[in-house]
Amino acid sequence: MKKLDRRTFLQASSLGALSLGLGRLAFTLFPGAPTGAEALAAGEPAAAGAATDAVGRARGQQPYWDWRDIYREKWTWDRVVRGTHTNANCVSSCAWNLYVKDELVWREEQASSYEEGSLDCPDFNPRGCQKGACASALFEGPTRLSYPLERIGERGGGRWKRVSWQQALDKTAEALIDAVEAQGGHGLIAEIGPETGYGPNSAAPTRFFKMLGSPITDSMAMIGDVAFGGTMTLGTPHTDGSSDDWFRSKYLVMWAFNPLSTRIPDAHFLTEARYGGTRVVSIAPDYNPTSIRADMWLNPKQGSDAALALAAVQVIISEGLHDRAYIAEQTDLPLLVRRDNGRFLRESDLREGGNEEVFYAWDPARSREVRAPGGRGSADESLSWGAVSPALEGQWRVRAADGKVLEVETVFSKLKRRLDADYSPEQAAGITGLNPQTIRRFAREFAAADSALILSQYGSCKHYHSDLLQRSQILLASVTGNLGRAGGGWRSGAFVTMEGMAVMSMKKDLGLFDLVLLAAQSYFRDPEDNIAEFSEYFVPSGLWHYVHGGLEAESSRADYGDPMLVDGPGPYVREALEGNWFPVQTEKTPTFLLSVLGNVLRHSRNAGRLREHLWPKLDMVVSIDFRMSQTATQSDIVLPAAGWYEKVGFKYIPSMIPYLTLGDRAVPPSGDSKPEWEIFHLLSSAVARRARERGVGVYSDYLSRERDLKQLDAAYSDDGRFGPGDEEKLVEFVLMVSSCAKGIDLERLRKSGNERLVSLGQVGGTNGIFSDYSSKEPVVPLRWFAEKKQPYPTLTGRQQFYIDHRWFLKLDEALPRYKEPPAAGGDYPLVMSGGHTRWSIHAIWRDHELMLRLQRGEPAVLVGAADARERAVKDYERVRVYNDVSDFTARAKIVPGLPPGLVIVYHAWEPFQFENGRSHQHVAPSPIKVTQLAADYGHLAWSFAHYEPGQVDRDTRVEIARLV
Amino acid sequence: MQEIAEIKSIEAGPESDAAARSMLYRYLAGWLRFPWEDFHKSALGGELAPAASECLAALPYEVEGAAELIELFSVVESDYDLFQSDYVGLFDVGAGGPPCPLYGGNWIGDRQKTMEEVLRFYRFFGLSLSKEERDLPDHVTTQLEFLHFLSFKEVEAIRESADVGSYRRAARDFVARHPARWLPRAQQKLEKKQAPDFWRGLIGLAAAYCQADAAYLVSTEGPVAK
Ligand code: SF4
Repeated sequence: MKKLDRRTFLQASSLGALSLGLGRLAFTLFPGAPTGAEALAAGEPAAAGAATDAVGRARGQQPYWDWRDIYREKWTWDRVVRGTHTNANCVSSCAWNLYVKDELVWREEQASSYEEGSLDCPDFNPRGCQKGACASALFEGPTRLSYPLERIGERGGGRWKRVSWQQALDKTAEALIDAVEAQGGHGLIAEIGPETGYGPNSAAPTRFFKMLGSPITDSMAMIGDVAFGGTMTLGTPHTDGSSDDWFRSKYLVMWAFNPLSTRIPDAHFLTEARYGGTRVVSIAPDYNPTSIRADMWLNPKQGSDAALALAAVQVIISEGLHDRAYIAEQTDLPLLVRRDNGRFLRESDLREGGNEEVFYAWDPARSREVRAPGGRGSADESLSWGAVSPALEGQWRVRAADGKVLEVETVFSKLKRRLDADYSPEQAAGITGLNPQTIRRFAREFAAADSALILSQYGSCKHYHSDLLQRSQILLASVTGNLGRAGGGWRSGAFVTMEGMAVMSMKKDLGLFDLVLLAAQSYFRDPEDNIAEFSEYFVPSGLWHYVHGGLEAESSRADYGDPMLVDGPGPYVREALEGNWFPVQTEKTPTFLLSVLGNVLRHSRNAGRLREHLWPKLDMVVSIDFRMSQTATQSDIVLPAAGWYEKVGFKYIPSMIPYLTLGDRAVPPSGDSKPEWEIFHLLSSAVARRARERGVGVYSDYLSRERDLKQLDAAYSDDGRFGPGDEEKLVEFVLMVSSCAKGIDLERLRKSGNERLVSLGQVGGTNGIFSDYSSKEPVVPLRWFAEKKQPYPTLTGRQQFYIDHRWFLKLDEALPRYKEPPAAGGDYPLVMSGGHTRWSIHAIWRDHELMLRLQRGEPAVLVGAADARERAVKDYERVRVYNDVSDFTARAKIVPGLPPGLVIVYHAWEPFQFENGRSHQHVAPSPIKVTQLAADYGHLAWSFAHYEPGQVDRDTRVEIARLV
Repeated sequence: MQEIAEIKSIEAGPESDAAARSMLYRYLAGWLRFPWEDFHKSALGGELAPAASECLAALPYEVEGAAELIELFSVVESDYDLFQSDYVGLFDVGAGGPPCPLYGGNWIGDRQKTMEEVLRFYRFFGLSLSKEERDLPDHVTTQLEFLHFLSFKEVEAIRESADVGSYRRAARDFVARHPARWLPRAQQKLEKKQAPDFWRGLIGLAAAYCQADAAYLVSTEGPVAK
């Protein structure tokens, strides 16, 4: 380059005689800055002569010598704000102090703000995990989305352009209106993933779609988090207490549950319990971080756990260690079953026009059948038998309405016969690979403990036969009288209800609620009505994607499921759909998909099929997220959501942690990102405006109700009572209407960070606690049943171990039993299991540098030493994992703690983190289980997160081969 | 960019040396912001190369390879959507993050520590991040603007016969410890990715300039303290 001299430079300058301007910077003067702050803050040009003082350092300020000078000033914070991780589905709730400087959260520190509960237990202070400790880095990291984006070129091609909110919302609104015009409410589908919290921003998407009247996927079963064994036996899949109650257990069984990795803030209760003398047992095929801290590790073969539980029950009953009185009162084991057809003896059998939902036991005193209290058709509101002492075992004859003599026996008799025939410890040893003496020891210890607690949680839900496993686990806890006992029972996970969330999600008229609060409270008197209303417009996600997402192709294959289903589950699915047992219509496939922090292309098993089958039918895919998830990569428009420290809300309330935790807005949203409440507010306005401009609007929604797009903005905002920036007003509303937060307001929460709950909220749905509450006691679930003798929400009103639905009878699953796991994916020698990882909450943090550094930093398949040797695979080598469904590539990680035949890929790697974009989910066909479809039976009816086919992956068969 | 302070009639000599440095920082900071349409028009209209050349020519030192880099960013994608989408895809978003984030902390290693240090620099000179044009403290634009600011202050100080050394030493340390350290690595990444010429050229020029300026300031002010 030709070198100009200084004079030429000055002349060449566009200004002729050069003047140098100081541009309006990305800076401002900090408060109390030396001088000239006013000029800069006002953005006013300063006069040339005065420039020295106009900005920056003052005259006389200390000189700068070298970089060490900048460290001389003490680092101070502008403020400390209370916060948490509101949309991380970590089944936890931890209060943090957020340290803010220059409108950035720089660090978070665990707050020890948990008011003491029971004086007999350790307290909850402090809580947190390593993910939470770097959430600020996550939200300031390179994966953060801060601007609306629109796809350029092919969907999934990775090219994006930045657009304004106006452009993005207009396009979204236009496509939404097109879809509604074409197919009414059937034209849309909302994927609201499990990354949810409590507060306006979590309620916003549900509210929006309910006001639209379009379907929303209920993703809980699809992600494998519904404990169907709980639904079948207890009438709720979601039952749990508080984690300080672990401390009161004398025998703590971590069954397919690895809290040292997955419940980090609560794991201390386990170790503290051990110090207090509790015996801790870990049941898992792999020697995991929780097994290391257990007194006993039982490693049944993958998928054989039901045999272990049933063998333990066999030992307990055969040795007379069971709790007879408890069983008679609380369970269906004394109920009579007809020997001719295997159905419960019902009143309708005994007399013309008799009730189908009244059941019987045998009264030995009077030598005749006696009505069982508590069944759905029973008028009794108590499980108490009164003066009757029903027989537990035996066979008798009763006369039917038509005069025929019916042979009957108790469920207990059937069970005992089955246990003695099939589940001796020796037989179970053949199935599980455990030593029979170990099984006996486990059974006897369990029965002898003052309180024995099975913590089952969500891992056990992800097996094809999860229902059988959980029913067997509950049976073990039940025959020993542990359900409903402090420090005892069976727990799967439950959430305290904030009624304000439900109201905000489903009621248009919010503003009226404060005027008619009393009416609002009475509104909550009937939990079943509330659940039914809340469930409206939700669709069972797994089944919906079976139908519309093309998952049927693999999920329905007979050879991937129970061999007793010769034709596979297809005919059963058809019957369930034709019978309208589930709200999934089959005719119309939507053309517009909106995903809100959902990531169906990551979490769905066989996600590749979904992408191939459903995506091409979609004219528009919109994602609202704060990170580029797999689903966002395959979207047309991406709208950036504010991060957790950038909006106001609450952490959801797992019953394990009976506190309400505030997630406050510590800093403004990054870039152009917005809280979800505001996003949906703007979107509803855009839709209504465009509908008015286009002169369209009235349509029939998903439930055939008439709606008007032109009114969407009014419906969403409750006729303008809540504006786009009214988050705080809505937070106050949720607090006011929620019984668990009675008397707690935002100001108080801002001071304390969290507050002990006032109550457990209304039962039902994901709140299967069913207990009174005291802030000075750990929460123990199911006490209303055990202590107050209240009937369970099951058909028989009791813990129901016997399901006499015709499909259960046909499949020989009327009683809990063990069935061999299916060969899902084909006949391959290895079973691929999974499990939550320590380093991420689902896919959040999965691609975060700080967490990746703590592991191998890329997807790994864990292989046992023997299997690796057999296949000549060395540690860190690339392997291809394959079966009939698909394949993926990952690094082998050779681990000594795995038994032969089992490989593990931990949870939530995004497909884009794998070579070729295919993940471990792509090889999982997720066979559908028929016993999760029988929704025409008593308590086995569809409602939100209660009963619907789940997705599973723990039975996936694969082979691995070294890649050269 | 709105002017918030102005020094008129720069004189040849130390004033114009510092002014050229200041202006080039300012240009580069502006050019590496998200490219709105008016910037695209300027780029298409060929306005960038002369502006950069003017400044480069007036610098009191050579920037190695500058001419070639200017050539590179003279190749401008004509379609605005594609033009900005190159920026978005390279620097802003992507599965697992963009390939070449423009945040120094992502390259230097300890992000929080990097952000703290740059913020300390800003605060030493009375600055904090603007609430309106808010980006993170280690973004390339913020860092280059700070250097623009320091060299502007240097011109002021020259004119007023005040302490120039503080600004020059601060600029030396800041540029050497931050953009001159990570921008070359970002440039290499773009080379490896065979990114579009325009962005390779701009990042390349920013990297080369920061390195040259660091060397120049070290030569006049002494080495950066260990
Ligand atoms: S991510 Fe969940 S478990 Fe971890 S600190 Fe936050 S709230 Fe607690």
